[in-house]
Amino acid sequence: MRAVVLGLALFGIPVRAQDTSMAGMHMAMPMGDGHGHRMPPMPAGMLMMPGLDSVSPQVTAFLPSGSATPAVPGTVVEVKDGDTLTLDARLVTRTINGATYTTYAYNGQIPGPLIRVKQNTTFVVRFTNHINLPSSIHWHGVRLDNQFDGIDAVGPGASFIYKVHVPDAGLFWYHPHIREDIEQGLGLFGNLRVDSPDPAYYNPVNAEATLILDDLLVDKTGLIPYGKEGANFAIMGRFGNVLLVNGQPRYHLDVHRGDVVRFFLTNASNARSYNIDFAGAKLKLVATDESRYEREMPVTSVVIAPAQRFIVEGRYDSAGTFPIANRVQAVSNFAAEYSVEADTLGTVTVSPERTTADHAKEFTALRSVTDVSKDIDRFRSQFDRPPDHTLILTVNIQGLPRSLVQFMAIDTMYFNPVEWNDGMPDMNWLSTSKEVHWIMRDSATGKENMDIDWPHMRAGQMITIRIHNDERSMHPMAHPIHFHGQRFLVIDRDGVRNTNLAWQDTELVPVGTTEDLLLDASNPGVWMAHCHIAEHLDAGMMMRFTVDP
Amino acid sequence: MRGRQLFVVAGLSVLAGTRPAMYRIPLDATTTGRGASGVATLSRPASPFSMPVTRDGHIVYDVGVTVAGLPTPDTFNGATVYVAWATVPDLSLAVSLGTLASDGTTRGQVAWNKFIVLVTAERTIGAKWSGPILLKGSSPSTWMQRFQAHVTGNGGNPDF
Repeated sequence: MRAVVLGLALFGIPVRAQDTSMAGMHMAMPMGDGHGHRMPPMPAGMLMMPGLDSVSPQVTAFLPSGSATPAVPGTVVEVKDGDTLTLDARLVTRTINGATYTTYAYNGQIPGPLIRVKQNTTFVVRFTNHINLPSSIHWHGVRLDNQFDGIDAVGPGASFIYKVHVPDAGLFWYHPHIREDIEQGLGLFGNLRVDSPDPAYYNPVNAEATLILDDLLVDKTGLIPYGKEGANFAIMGRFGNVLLVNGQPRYHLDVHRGDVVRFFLTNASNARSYNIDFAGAKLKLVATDESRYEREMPVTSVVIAPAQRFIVEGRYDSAGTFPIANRVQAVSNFAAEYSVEADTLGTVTVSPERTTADHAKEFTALRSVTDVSKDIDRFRSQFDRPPDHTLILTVNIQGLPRSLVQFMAIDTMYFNPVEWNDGMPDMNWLSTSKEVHWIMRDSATGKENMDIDWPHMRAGQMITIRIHNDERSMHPMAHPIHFHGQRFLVIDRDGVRNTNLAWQDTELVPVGTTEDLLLDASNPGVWMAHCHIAEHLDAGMMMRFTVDP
Repeated sequence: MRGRQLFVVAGLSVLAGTRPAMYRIPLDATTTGRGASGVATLSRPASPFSMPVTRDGHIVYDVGVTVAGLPTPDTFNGATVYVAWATVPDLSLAVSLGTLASDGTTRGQVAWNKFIVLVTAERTIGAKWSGPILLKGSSPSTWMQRFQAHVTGNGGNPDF
């Protein structure tokens, strides 16, 4: 009796039927099950809050549908200066673990084509949007001309020409900047690898592998629907329960004993941060978003937040088959317990035959990269300046049932500084960007998100930005903060100087921590900065800043 | 009734901003250590990643311990040093965070999900403490409460 009363009295959210017309887009949206929203399956051992099985998010359920062809694996496209590349966004079908889903893809490929280009070249991308949602291509991390940054919508059926100049060597990626929670979440992403003309830029290796990490949230019926008018899963973002590498659940690589492999890692997930363990390999970290590190360093695993990239080299000394796994300490908020979560993303089989080219010496040596240090030396005198701006990361939640909020009060008596898993998927699913407002607040003015109006920066100016993630907010969470069109250094973490720097465009700010960035405001235009958890972006966590020529 | 009280405390603590600090563990004196006070501060070790973790995903913390108000160690049955420890809640694992310096501080590292910080008086330093516990404090992660402890039968609604 109590449970029944609970469902009615405490969670009196109406169950919404599916809306079969996309406003203004005239598209039919027959759902996989024809019944609108479905609650995500609860992970094994995690209990659902009583009463939540009768409620649904306050947005219309949405999934893509229509005529689609099967997706194919991503190809590699070598692009030269002046070349034109054609990309389109289209519907595809994907079969994963025996189930077929309708999703999106660039050029019908999951992931989108790996674009390889030399540093300091310029190429053109002719983009056509064949999906029934506005879309775009954002060239994440590229310091390109502002008008081609990809934040403006390209309507269904429309085209846009992007002129992409790549001044920096590194691993970049591209994805839509319109409803990322749906479009990027359903497969619209690919890598852009910009190679230095210096043949010794990276160490010699036996093989290279590009791994784009992603996750999909499904149940036995199909994809768990998205929100049409705004994102659901707005509190924590959408955590998938099928983890993918390059769009597939079982990545595999064959190498010889003694081989060194360079892994190019990108996290294209909506919300999930990973701790990637390469069993059987010794690892060293060589580069991140936009540059190599000043010094190569050994690492035991790779912590990678949404939108971040890392380049690591691994040496496999022993024969055998070894997992590449995401290993985290997950939290069940309901049970107040941690549990080991170890998801195998793929395997590496090391044959007993010795490598034909032994790079052990170069692998063992930890290089100091003087080019990077010299570049950064120009800015070290600015490291001790007080912050020009301070941003506070917080959240405002209004309109959720009071009891749900009260449960969250218990839930957030403690929280991992980084949420490795969705510890309350039922509550998270219910929250939408109508009720949850993620906030970047300028501490000097109190202005928030798009109301922030920092004084214009001058091209070439270095700006110090302090970002503090307020642990006292209603539901704090780590945020990967991305600045468009520029590069930055993370000079301090919690007031401690970072002694091994690299140029970045995205930095994860764990709960309760403070990160000091030095932004190289070198690229004129009106740019965005935002949280790269796709649902947080939809829930308002973005601002703009202007760099004058 | 206790569950309801816990719930109210939890809710009010958030609203009032009195939720336990994430990176600061007050060390409370035991009866044996009365008069002493202390704090353990958690911080991130240097790492290329924003959040340093072990291969199996445990977050790694530097733990700085600061203690005041203790008499000389020999006050406690001939002890020679004060030692700070971290241990898991069931005490099955322990690691020394170091011997307190003359200024009452030491620094160590821990990579457990839930842990307790202890300060004991020791004659010699072994794998675990053998002397009396003088101060103790629990990591913020131990504040997580099972929802069953919060009258989930009524959904946690204090007005129910």
